[in-house]
Amino acid sequence: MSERAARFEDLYRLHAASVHRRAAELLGNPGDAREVTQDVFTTLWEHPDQFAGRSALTTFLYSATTHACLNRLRNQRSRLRLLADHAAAEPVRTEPARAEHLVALRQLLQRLPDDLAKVAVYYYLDEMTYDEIAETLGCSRRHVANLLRRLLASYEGQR
Amino acid sequence: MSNSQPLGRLRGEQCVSDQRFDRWFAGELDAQAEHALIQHVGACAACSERQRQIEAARSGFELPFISREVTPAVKRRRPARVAALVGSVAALAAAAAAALWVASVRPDDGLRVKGEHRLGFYVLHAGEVRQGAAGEALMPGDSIRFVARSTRSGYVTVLSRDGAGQASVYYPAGERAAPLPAGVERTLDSAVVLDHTLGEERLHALFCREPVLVQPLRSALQAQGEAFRAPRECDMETIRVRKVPAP
Repeated sequence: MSERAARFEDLYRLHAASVHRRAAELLGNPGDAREVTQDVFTTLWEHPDQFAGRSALTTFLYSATTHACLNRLRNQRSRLRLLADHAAAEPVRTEPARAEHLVALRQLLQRLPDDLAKVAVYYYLDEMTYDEIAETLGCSRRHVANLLRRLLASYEGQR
Repeated sequence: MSNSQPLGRLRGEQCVSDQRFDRWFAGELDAQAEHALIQHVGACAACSERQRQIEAARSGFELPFISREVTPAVKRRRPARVAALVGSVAALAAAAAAALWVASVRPDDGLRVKGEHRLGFYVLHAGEVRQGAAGEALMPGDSIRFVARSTRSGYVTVLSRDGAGQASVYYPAGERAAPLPAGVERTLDSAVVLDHTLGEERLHALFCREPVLVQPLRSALQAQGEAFRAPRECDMETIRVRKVPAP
């Protein structure tokens, strides 16, 4: 095994579990979570230049995983599968209170545009601070506050 | 912000985010941030529980990664159809004395894992073996065994400082650091059975150019704690683990 492969294996062992955990919670389907995990790290392996080192690797992987999961949620077939086959899917093991929270979050995400969906993930799933969200999105704290205001306005407009 | 929110947060605004937990497990927090995290978790039942959940997910994670180097023609495909496993992950599956690696990744290193040395470990718990990782929750009575590798020939010793500040030499049994050939994945002789001291424990592997005496290093680690630095003739890799009570 080359040095590069050995180092990448190290990174995988260090970070893959968190990528998989988040994907499983966002998608509610362990099979999809495994695919997203594989895709995120395959992309990183094949295109290491995508991580420019401007943030911590965890922060980069949070962004990549969220992006991949939101794309899946927007896929029409995935959405129908989520709605119709949720009961039949292999369950994601989680605490009951959190499971209920995740179902509500997935339903919310399906109604939101990309920018609001991302901030909803970071705020309601990862329970990040405004500063942490700003660093992950690569924007200002003020912009995060604006996004959350728009998110609430969007929610109230749909009620 | 309006009281009418699409849904709430499960924990308070001052609590530790999942991202911060993950950065901690990845070794990306500085000492001050880590201390603040540990202080908060120690006083917050919700965050302590969330840490337990995240650690459980880490311990149960077993998905291998398939690299292009192993299967040159690999394309993205459903993992269920891919049979290849990367090197030492396959060895672990065979329960052999695999090379198990825990990298010290610094935030500014990107994909470049720092250092030419690596320390890993695996854990024997209740008759089952699993690979260890940074932030691992271990229990009294667990047995751990180290694996080390270096790109240059030298000598290695593994020291520990537990939650009570007690320093120990985990490897080797002799009075000097033991030889470690270059480029060889070496499972270090002798396993360590963990005692009942709980809390964070730091495992320090020192990769030295000379067969240094280990007891003076142990004494320095005990006296200096977090200020402990490797001597000039050694490089140091550190892994943090946590000892928690058995359920």
